[in-house]
Amino acid sequence: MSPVDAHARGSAVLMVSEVAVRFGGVAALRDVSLSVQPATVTGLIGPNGAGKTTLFNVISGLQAPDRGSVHLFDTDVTAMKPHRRARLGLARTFQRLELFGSLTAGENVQVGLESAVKWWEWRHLSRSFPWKRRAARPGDAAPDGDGPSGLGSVAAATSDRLLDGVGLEGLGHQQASAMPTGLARMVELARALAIGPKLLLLDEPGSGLDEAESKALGDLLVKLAAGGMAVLLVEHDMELVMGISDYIYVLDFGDVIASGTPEEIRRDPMVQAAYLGAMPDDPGSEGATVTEGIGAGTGGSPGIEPGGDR
Amino acid sequence: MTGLTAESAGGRRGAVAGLPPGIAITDLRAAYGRIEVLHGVELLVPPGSVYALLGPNGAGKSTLLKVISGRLRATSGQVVIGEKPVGKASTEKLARSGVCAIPEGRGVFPNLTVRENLRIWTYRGGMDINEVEDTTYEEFPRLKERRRQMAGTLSGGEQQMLAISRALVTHPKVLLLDELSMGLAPLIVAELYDLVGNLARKGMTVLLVEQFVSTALSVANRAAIMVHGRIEQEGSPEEMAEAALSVYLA
Amino acid sequence: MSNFLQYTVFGIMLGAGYAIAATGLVVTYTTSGVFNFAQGAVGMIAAFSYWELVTAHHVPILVALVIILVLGASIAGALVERVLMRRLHGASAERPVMVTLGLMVILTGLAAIVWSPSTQRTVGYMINGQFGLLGINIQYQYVLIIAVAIAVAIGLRALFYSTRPGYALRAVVDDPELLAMSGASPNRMSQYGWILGFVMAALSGVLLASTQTTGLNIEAMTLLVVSGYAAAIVGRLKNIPITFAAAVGIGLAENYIGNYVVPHVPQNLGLDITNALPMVFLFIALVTLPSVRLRAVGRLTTLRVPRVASGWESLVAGGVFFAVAVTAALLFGNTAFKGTTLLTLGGVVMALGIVGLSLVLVTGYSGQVSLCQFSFMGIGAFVMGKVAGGGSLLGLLAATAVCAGIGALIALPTIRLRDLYLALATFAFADAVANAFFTDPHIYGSGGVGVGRIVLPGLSFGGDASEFLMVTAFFVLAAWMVLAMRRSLFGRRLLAVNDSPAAYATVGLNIGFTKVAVFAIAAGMAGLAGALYGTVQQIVGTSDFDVFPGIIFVLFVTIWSIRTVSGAFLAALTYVVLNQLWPSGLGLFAGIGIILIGRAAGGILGIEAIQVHLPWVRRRQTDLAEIPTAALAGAAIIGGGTHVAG
Repeated sequence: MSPVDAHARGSAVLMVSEVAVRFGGVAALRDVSLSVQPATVTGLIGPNGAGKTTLFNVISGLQAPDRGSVHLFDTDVTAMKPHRRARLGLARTFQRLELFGSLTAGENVQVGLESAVKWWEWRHLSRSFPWKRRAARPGDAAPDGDGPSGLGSVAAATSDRLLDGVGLEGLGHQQASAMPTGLARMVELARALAIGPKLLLLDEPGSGLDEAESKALGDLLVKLAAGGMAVLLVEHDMELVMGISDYIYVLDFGDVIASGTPEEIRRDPMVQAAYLGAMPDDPGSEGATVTEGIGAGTGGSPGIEPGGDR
Repeated sequence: MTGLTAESAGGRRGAVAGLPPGIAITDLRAAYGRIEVLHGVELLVPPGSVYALLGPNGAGKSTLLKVISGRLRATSGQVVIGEKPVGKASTEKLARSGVCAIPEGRGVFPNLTVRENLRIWTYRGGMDINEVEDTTYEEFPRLKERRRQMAGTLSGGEQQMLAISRALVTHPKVLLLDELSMGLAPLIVAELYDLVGNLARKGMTVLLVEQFVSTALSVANRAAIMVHGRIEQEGSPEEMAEAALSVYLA
Repeated sequence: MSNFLQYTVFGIMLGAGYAIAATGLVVTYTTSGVFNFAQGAVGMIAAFSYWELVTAHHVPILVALVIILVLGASIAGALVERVLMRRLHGASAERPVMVTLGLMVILTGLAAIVWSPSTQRTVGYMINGQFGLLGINIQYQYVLIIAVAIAVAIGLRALFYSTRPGYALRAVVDDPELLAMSGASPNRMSQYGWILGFVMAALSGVLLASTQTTGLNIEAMTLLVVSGYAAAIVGRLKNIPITFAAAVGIGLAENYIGNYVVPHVPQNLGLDITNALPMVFLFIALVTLPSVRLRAVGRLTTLRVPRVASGWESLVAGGVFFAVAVTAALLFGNTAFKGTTLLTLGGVVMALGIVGLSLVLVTGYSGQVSLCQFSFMGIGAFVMGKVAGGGSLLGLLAATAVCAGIGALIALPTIRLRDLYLALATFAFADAVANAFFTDPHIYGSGGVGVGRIVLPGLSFGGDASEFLMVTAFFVLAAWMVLAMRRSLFGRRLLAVNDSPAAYATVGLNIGFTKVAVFAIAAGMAGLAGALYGTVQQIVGTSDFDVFPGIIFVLFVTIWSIRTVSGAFLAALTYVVLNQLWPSGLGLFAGIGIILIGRAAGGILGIEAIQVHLPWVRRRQTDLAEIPTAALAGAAIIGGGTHVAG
């Protein structure tokens, strides 16, 4: 079963090839391969601890893989720094929120919007003069009426539009660290969208949202994909994933154990076993017994690095 | 809502002799910084039961375990273990008084050997280390071969065995388990939960958070579903199996 | 050959002394997560106490050691952990650094009061006599020091690897929370860590005291362990055997270089190389460290952020400030205080205010601790004095540029590391510059460097009043610039990179570039301030830019509020006023102040009760609990093209 073959290559925006990561004696990812096509929503599911977040960290450059390669937009980025990958058009959110807590929601988005601006350019610096154009103040609801000539006010206006887009109208001036999880997730999403990504990695965007909110989130993601963006989605809300994904990968014990359309995934008995877990006396569980633990336990010394750090 | 209060916890005061304490939680609120995560949790874990706490990610299950084990201070409300309100007791005090919490991930010290980990489990209480090792190795013979190895170099399953051996050797009154099965193969999970079942039969009260509904319900004799920082439903494993299906897979 | 052996023995002995202090530092750091900048000061106090007891009062050596190590150091260590450190859990990352620095300046301040620097104090060997070996004479004292160091190493090894508290001390490094869940108190373990650290610092101080043949010196003893810092960093602040070996290596290198290389360095090249060695080692150690991996940490910042004045507000406030300064210049034109005119002092306040502003930028906004802003001041004043004969505008520009360049060079090797390492690098740099550069008669001159005052065609700033107003104008300009930066996208980036480096990188921004840039800008500002300070004083001396005054000033800014422009000004004012009234008490004030402020991130100005709310400022607070996120249902279409291109 080779998901990469099954899923056409070529124009893929993301190609992960045989990536492996180990933490101490525990394998977090074993030779994972997957690809993401443009203008689609790709789901990545699997139980907690299956390695989904580790995979996201490898793709976005926060974790170097022990083996394997990552290609973004036909460029080998395996050794590339995170910020350079982002400049290629990769944005992500984090499972445990990573907001700029001392900035407002609006400023968080602005940092994303302005990420390509060089601050030392005079035409930007000169905007600091109060008589030039009123600089965009943190969280201004709307730019001044007299024309958006300043970059700051364009950014502020766009940031408000982005925040409106994720349902945070009028909250631009709130300090991000004081926002409840659900709202904060949306700020993170708006900030990720702000860099104008071609590929968006979302790590559990639906957790902490209620039914109506997660439905709206799904609609938003579908629209983004229709607009040409590729979305890779880690999510536990099965209704959301199954409802909007064009293609789904299932990760378990650091392995891709299945991939296919939502219908195929739903019918796959291994997925059911992996996802729902197996009762100790459930015969079906044998099918899902993957080579964890026991194999490593008898294989002599699994020690990678003798934990000599002291 | 369970509709149960601490008052109806029955047998808290003047508990039947020999019965271990249960856990009674009333109107518990807790927050990270300014953000409230638990919005008034009501929960009653009967003494000697295996109680499964189900619910989607981000519902506050792990947070609840953190509050019970003293790792996070509640902003209001009360946790009573046995007869004693937990109040502001520190984690280590609670641990010494018989609350054994096994955290999510691997509850071992990666840069200590297996033996050293076992000695830490019994930091207080003057237990004989040889006895502790014998008990552990009898249950998990594989750990014996690796007793001089750093815990961080063990496989995931072995690490979790070492983690849960803390409950085996320290004889706690209450056992709190957070995602015991995380990243482990079903056979190993089954082995670990077998042990949990045995411990409960010896009288330990177990509260477990588990992502796999069927796994959790196969060992539990009572369960609750938590959503958005509140207990949504509570009942027998059979009742909860149906309810969980609607919460998880809709 | 016999010389070589002699140097080797002495080097090992010195290294053994460093090793004891450095491993103590590592033990404290691993068990409590705090790098104890006061480690050297503890050793210094122990050395002076030893002199007091043994030399002055003829207490038997063993009794003195029991008093100093067992009663003094261990109790002090336990108290420091319990009273000062424990309440800092969850405070912003730079705060423990500030508190240990506070402890350091308190200890040096107290020592200066108790043991007047004018008295010469030498400490004799604990064991007198020597023996011959391979043609050289070896002091028994050296053997004793080496033997104690070995005993300490073996003792630590035994403690950590075969006792239950030792396992727990190692376990607390791995996972304090899990240790608590196992029934052992992580706080207790940190306390043991502090006790061990203090005892080892005191032990090294007592042992090395006898090697100070020219007498004990407060500053020299306190800074003696900077070499130990380098060793600790080679051991990555966690590996005790490597730390130990590195310390011995550094001790040897210092002796070989001091005896073989230094004599061949032409005198007029200046730079007392021996004094710069600790910094050189530290930088080598920093460069060899592996980069830290970016981690998503989950968001923790819940600090209330001070309101930022708008462009017009800061312009008006600056105008008012300047008008007040003009009035003051008119009123106090010729008033003098203790032989200095008030306007000169005022000029110093303004120059220091600019240094304070540089700290607001680098520490307050971007969270990087710099302890060498005074060194940049000194370099700035030096450049100002040397360029175009002093007193030229060109000098101001050169001072700014040179310091910005040096700042970038210091920041470069540390940006890929944790912020603590930048603090260490700046500490070492301050030490090296103060002791190798400023004190060198060939460079800084024995009487100081003449800077002179700025003369422009048609304008002279020769008078105190015009000079004062010029420096004030620079301060106002700098303050306005810092606020403008804060409001700009650069300011947003500074706060952002501090809040979440992982998110910063994943929106496409270069962490290292931003950090180096802000550090260089701040260094340039300090250089400018130094140049201006030079024009105020007209001549700057060798001791104007010492390590300790620089640290004390950082503490004052933190005490007032390191995140606001007003904090910078008030710190400068406090510093200058106290320095006039009671110079030797400066450290005590700063140290006690930082301890009292504790974890309050906003400093004094951040205290809610004393804040003044401007009537025209709308306080925009929305009760978030009331807002239904279901507003999402109205999610608008977000297409492409939202990106604002550069």
